[in-house]
Amino acid sequence: MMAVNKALNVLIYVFFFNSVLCKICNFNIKVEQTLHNEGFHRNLSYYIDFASDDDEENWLYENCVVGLEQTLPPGVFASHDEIKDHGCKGLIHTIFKAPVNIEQPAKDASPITIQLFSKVERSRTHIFIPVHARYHHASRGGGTVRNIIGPPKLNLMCPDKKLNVCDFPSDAPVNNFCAKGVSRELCPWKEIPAIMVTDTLFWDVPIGNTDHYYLVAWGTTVVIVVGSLYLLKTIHGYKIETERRLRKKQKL
Amino acid sequence: MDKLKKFINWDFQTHLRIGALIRFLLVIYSIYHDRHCDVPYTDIDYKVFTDAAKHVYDGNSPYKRHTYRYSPLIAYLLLPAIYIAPCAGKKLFCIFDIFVACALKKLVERQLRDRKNASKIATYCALFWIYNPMSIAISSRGNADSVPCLFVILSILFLQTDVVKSLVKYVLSGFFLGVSIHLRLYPLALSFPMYLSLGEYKINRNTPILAGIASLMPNKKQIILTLSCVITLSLLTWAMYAMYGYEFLFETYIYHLFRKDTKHNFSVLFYYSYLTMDHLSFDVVKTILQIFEAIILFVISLTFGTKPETLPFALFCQPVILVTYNSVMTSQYFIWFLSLLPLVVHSFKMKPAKALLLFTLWLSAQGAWLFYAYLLEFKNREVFIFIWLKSIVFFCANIFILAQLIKSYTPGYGFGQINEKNIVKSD
Repeated sequence: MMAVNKALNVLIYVFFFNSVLCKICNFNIKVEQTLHNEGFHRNLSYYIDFASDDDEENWLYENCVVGLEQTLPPGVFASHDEIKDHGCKGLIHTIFKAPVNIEQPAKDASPITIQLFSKVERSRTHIFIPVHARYHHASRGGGTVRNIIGPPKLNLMCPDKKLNVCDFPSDAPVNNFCAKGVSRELCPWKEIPAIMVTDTLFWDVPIGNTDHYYLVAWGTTVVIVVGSLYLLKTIHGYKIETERRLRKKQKL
Repeated sequence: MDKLKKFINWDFQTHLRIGALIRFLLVIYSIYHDRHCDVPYTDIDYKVFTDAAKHVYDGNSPYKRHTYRYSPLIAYLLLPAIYIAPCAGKKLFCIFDIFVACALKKLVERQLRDRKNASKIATYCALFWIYNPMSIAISSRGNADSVPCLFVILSILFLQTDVVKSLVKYVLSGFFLGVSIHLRLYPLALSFPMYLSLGEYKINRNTPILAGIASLMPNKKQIILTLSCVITLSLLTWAMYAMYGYEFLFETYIYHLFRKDTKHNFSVLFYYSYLTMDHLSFDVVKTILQIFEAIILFVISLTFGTKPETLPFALFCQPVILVTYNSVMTSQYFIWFLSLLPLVVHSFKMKPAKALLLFTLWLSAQGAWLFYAYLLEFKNREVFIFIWLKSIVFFCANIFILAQLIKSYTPGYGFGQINEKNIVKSD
């Protein structure tokens, strides 16, 4: 009899609660990813709306910690020191998955993975970080080279394990926010399927023109040689003039 | 004009107080500016220094801070920024700045000690440092370059004056030169003319070869100066190496020797270096540049460095050449020669209008370069070729201005306030 009761309870839970929860976890989360300013130094911002117009769902995300994972292409970098110093808006912590060499040209650099941590407040989160373009190798004809910044991965860690009741349709096999060896079920971080409301970001930066090589090499050489000879001639002239004056003085 | 004259003729102490006040107000302003503006007033290097100081404070290596490429002494010097206040380091650099002005005044005054108006001329010279917008900006933004500048000037002060008598002055001169070379590599180029200035060269057409060679042998003063400098430099380098190992040697010295910065900068070599980023073979253009640089440094040392009267001009010209021919040039390097300008500025026999024209030329050549650099860096415009052209213009402007200064150089001119014949005494 006990066993029958237990089975009934499980059935009631599965049929009743699961249908209710599926209704709640719509994941109506919109991410707006924008690059501000122009040039080599820009701001990358994220504006995330956690179902602010859906009162039945937004309670689920309140007070959750947001973990955004962004991979920057080799031509773009962010500096841990700069983010730390600027007290970047909305950020509570930042983790760089590998050390960043800010002086490398794009060709020698690797993509950078950054984890940005923030908090859901009034169903919204707003984060920005300063990012910089690296120099790319010059090419024939010059022009610009394109850096493509893909969408971030959105993770949430909510109090009271609120998200555990949700069914996650696109659970990735690996979650970088979870400690190694911790199973997906036990990990408090959940990767959330979010809707990107902005297109993939393209950042075009100017590059040098290798067609200029001969002009630049010859021009630089000629200027150095002529400038140096002019300077040496001036020094020589000064010396001759000083000696002439001295001889004149000695004669007097 | 009368008001300006009246202002210039205020006593030195008042000028020092005003100079200090300007710098400290700017340090305070920098706190406000950095909080409210996107582009910070504080130099990026100041953050590097203070981060390195934090590592030192925690008992770690300052080189744990990425891009820290200075002597650990700078990180130690910045410790007050950790345990007193974040801007304490800037204030310290401003104090160094004020010391530089005092040392410059003393030095020029002693150089002209027999002349009438020596004190007045020395005050005028010091004003070129006290009110120099670049020196004000550099120290108040938290750049450490006023520190080696002070040690260079102290070294010249002991070498060229009798602040300390006997051979001890050469020991002190060598000591400060050694410290300055430890902090920055550029004073190494000053050591040769400083050494030469202590010799007595009586070589002419009638001098026998043996006597000529004998006169080139180092004398007691030269030996003391050299030993003092080498021992100081070696001890400091050894101490830092013992503490921080090869990382110290690489980041502080080796990196600067082989640095190839392909990002835009004032150097005439910038675009060429960028276009040849991966060329590992023998670099002809850079070699030509370095050969001419070495020849000019040597010729200047021989022309102006062999006489104590003209030594300050040799010392001023050396960093001008080093900076002009360097493969990387940024504004902070200008302070290397601007700190030595007050030592020689009174010796330029030049009309004020011409001096103003040369100054305008120097500023406008920089301004033109900065305009195109701004277009590239902040407006994403493909203007590399124009930046190269402007760096060529800036190189030519530097060479032309230096040539004009050489032509007008008249030791003992003293802004025309000394009524003596302005010809250098020679043996």
